Amino acid sequence: MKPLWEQELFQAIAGDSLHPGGRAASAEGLQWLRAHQLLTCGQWAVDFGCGRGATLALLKQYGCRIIGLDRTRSHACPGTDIPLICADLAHLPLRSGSIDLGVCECVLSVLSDPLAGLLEIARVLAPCGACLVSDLSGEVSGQACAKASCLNGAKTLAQWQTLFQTAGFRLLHRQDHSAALRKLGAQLLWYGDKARFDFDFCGLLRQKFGYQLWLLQKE
Amino acid sequence: MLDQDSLRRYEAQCTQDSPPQCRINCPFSLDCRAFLTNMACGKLAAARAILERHLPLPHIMALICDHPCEQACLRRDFGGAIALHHLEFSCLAQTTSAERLLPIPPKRHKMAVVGAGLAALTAAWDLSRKSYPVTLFVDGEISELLLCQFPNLEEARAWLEEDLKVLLRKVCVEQKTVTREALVTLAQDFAGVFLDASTHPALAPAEAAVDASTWHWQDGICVAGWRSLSPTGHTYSLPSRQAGQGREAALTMERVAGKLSLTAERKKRYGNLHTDCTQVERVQRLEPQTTQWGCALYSQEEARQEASRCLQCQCLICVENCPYLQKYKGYPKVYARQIHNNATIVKGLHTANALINGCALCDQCSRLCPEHFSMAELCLAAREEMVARGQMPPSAHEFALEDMEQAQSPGAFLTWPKPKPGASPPHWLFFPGCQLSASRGEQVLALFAWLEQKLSGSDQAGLALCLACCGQPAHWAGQRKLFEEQLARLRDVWQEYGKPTILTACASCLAALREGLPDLPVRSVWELVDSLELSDLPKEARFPLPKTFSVHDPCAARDDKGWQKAIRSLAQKLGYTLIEPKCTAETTSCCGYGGLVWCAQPETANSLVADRIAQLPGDVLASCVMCRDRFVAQDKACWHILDLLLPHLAVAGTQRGPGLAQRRYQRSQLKARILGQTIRPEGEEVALASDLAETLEEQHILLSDIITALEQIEAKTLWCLNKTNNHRVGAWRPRKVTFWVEYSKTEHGFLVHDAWCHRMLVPGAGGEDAETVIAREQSSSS
Amino acid sequence: MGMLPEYRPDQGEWLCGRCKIPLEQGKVPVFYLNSAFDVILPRCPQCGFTLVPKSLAQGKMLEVESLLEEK
Repeated sequence: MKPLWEQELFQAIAGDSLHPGGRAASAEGLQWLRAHQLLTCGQWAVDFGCGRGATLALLKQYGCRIIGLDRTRSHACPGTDIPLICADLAHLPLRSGSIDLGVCECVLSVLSDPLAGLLEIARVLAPCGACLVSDLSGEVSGQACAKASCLNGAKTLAQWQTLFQTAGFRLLHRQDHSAALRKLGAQLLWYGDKARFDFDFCGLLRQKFGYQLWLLQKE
Repeated sequence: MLDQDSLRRYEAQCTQDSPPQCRINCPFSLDCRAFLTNMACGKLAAARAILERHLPLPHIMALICDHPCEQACLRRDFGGAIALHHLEFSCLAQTTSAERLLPIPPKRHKMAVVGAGLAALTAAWDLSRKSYPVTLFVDGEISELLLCQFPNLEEARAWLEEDLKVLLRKVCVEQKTVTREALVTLAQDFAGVFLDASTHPALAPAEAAVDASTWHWQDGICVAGWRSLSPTGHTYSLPSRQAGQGREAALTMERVAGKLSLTAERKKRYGNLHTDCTQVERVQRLEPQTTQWGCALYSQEEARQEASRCLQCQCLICVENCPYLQKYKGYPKVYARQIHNNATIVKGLHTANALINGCALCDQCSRLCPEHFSMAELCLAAREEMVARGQMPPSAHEFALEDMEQAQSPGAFLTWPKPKPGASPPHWLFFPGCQLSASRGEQVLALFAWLEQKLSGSDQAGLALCLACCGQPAHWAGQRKLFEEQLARLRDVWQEYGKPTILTACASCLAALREGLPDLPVRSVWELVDSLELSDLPKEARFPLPKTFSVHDPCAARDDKGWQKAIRSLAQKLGYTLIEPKCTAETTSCCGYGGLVWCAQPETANSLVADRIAQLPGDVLASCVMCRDRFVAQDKACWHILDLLLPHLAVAGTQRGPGLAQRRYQRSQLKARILGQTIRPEGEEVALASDLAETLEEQHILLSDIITALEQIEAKTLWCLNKTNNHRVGAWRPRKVTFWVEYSKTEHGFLVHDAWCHRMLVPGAGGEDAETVIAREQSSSS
Repeated sequence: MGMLPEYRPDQGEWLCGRCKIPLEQGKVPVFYLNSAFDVILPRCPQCGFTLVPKSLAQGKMLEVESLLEEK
């Protein structure tokens, strides 16, 4: 079975952003950064796991110099002239301290070692550089819904915060976009065949999961 | 409502998080409970990891610690304190260290530690683990200096060396005789200085001269580790005391270096962890058979046995008695935090909604809790806040509020007989409550008639009747305004009748009136009946009644001693025997009707009633008809106090109570009967296919919903026709739900074959024009 | 989207009560709590009357409703 985000139906529902909340959620996070002068014209911005480049397009509108980064070239930023790097988050081909702004949306939860990814992002960020991270929150107890699911990478708020701190980030602000996750889940349930997704609908039903957007700053 | 301050107040009330006595008494705050849990199931490596995490110089401490933990152990009085010290030693003796220290970049503040007593070594241990560069200034061999104070370490030299080896991996040692002048220089060169009073008594001030909460002496120099003086004048070294001081002093040094307050937020304050020891059985402490280096050594099996004697002190008294509190796997302190967080999220996922709406508001927890933590108070306030912010899901209490509305509607609301101007006002106003009127109309009328006749001629003559709802459902739903409207209406009735004493037959009404209209005289009808002569009550029973009952007090009457006493007294006078369950009177459990849980979360309500049933042997005597009906719905034989008072009208203890639709119908029927009218039974023209009634009840579709839907569907031609069987299927959307009815026309009316409903809005179904709906919804959602 | 769920009547042959013409399968958006979903249902091509089969109401609709409700 293909991962959820590579399935046609998911892509059709989630749109270009390939994560809950879509462009609107990303924009809300970026606006917060801008309001706090952490996102300014001319900055170097990298989307770690850029997918089709929806958030990069937003960053470009804000006047950032953008770079997309994804593990495979095949589905990243099709039909755009966005500079694209093909690399693994655990080994970024970027100089230390060379980036002003990082974006990492719904990527950490699918990594086997999210801390390694965060540490790499912290390395390439300039001191006091900001990073927008969004991901799944919730408790994964293992036996709840035996089905394999991309929601298995979810962590509790406390676990995420510990990860960020361990990687050397300060948590500036959190936005709760859980309603968007429910909406996405409802769309998948409506249009899809439940059995064909590796998606923990029953966990979502029991309100186990949420979707968070954090704004972090390298310490 | 739930601001930070009140959250803290709530949190402080629940002591489940507080550490147990052993841990409070340990200067290193060792998690003894977790250590013993691991020891009890033979997980030695995990147990060791806990020791290594908390203890400085773990091998040395395991050998010589004077274990203040054991002095405080609650097991002490039930076979002797848990042998924590022996167990620590045995654990270390039977395992090897697997501790992996993650490399942390060194901090910039350099620390100096002078001396080689237990306090100095602890300070050096703690600071070096936190990556401060530590220099240890000693005047001689460390192990020899330590042995001077603790000669019994000599035998276990291997362990002594092992701890020192770990320590010296991160600590620089400098041989130096530190003088007073040298100490001043150190204070200038280092961010913090520690002086061990046991190895440098001449340099150190008197213990009384130093602040015992910080051990800060002067100019960034901390002193600690004094030897103790026995009552006989001997000096000796108390390991837990010295090492504990070393740990505190190290914390002070960090604060000195970081230029922080030395005292602010230093010690977390806890309430006393309440632990119920009444059920604890005595088990003798197991003394080990073998020793090593003079220390007692348990075999693995012995260790397991001894560790399993641990009481695992915790409170949870409220949780143990409440399936709702068990459901979310936490305890009130955790829940208070979740509810607070729920309220502070402006938008997004309100995960605590289920927690807030699942509470029966019965307040059993606050009566069981030694600190009187009330989930009811918390959840009710949270509901009111949700309602005020428009965050309460409309579906949560819809059925209950609709039921209330019907009880207040002209079809069911009644005051009788109407007050006559000029006539003397009635002494009493009987208020049976909307649920009793809905299920026991016949008995309500009989009781009314009996009371009226009984009181006539006395100085308490005059009885009027009011059929209405007290507003409790609105209160429970967090609809404060609606609740107050209902109460205002009742106040008007009360004034119209010349301020009589209100007699309620329902504990929830009684509670609602007492809370909402505290200046009105209200009492339970059972107290009045109990004060009267009972010999002329009918004796002949419609059914044979049991002779013995388990008595179940309604949760709303948990504080009402008068109610409780009257029920017991009446049953006794009528010749019945009562059994008191475990939770009774003040601590009685809820049947699941309270707080509208039955409406918001039927599953939670069902687990509440199942739990209560398990506590009640034999047939049950209830004094609230909702308790009665909920028990019987779960196949528990239950009788209402009215069945005992009026046995000729008794309802069998196994006969299920009426459903939602039937209640409404019976309420209206009772009113009509009192007024001497007959109303056409609602179901006459609309017949249901067999088995359909139950399906409808499950889906919460009321018969009245179907009747209204049918009227509209027929009047507005909102149906389509199935040519194969001539059934019509139509839809009507009276509110945020669309009802579908499949029916056929009969000679007298309609035969309903099936019905279903959904909340989603489907254009073209339910009455509104399809295109209008699409245009409106698409513009509002974008 | 090429993956529209489609529901036919649970059984039988259907006429619109008002227009007396057969219902036809047609696309219609349905709404709930700020979300919209497309579905193909039996509809009257003239007046727009739409039939929601019991299987849909008690199946997918119920699931999606409870997923979206924060009850």
